[in-house]
Amino acid sequence: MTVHAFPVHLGTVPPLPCPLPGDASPADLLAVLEVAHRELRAMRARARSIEANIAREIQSGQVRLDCEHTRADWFDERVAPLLETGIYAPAWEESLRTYVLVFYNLPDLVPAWAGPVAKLKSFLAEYRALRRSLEATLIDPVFDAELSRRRAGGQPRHG
Amino acid sequence: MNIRTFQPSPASLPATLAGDGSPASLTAALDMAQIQLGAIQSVSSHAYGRMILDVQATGMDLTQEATRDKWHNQFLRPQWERADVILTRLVQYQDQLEHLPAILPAWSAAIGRLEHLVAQVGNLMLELERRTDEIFDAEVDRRRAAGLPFCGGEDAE
Repeated sequence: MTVHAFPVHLGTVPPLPCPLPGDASPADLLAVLEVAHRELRAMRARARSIEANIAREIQSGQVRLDCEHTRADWFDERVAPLLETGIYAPAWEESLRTYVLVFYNLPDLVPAWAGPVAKLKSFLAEYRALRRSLEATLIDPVFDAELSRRRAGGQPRHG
Repeated sequence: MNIRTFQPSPASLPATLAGDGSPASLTAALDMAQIQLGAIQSVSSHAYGRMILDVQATGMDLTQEATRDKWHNQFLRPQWERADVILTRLVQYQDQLEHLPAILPAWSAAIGRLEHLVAQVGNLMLELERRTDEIFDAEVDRRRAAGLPFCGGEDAE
């Protein structure tokens, strides 16, 4: 199977700052999380863009839908590289690990950090949920939906 | 035996740091710790002097461990316990804040001061632990040199 690049530019995820800019107060973490939340929304948009492109391409009728190899090839060759640069954000992983190490228990000693650290925890949960869901949902649901559409329309499963 | 006891006010540092969460939150607690450490040092110096005077004035057996322990517990142990309260809390601060400068460099100075205070309190506690023996040993040497009895009324050799 010939694999083509997606006709969209998905961009890459900029790293989170480490150390944080500012005067070392809780507001500094809030400011960083605000930027990170914007980036998370952009990641979701990128994921939707990837999904839309998969759907468009398989609806062209040139892709065999009921073959596991086809799906695996699509994932490995088209989706995975995009996830690596545009969504998985390896640069985030390192800084988030440092954030967790430094901030998680800080409110126990310095209660003024409780609000920002709660936001950090909620952000991490959102980010991890997005990561977890992408691998499971990007290919199969799109392929299955197209398969159902073709079945309903009496069309062949492959081109 | 006339043992005078010291009843200093108990030491305490807050379990949580008040303030806006900036390094000033820690600095305020360290200021408090510094004042309490100063008070312990002051009371300890006074206790050393009183212990020296009392040891010189009495005819106790200076070689008995039980005697030394009794005097240590009366004069210096309370100061050691106050210092221990402070040290325990400072170490708790240290455990929770030690990684902070990696991500918030502005905390470095306050955490450096915290580490310095931990060392200071630790040194004071070591000093308190050994000071009774030093005072008793010095008095034994003094009496021996002067040909005075130092061992429960027996004459020195």
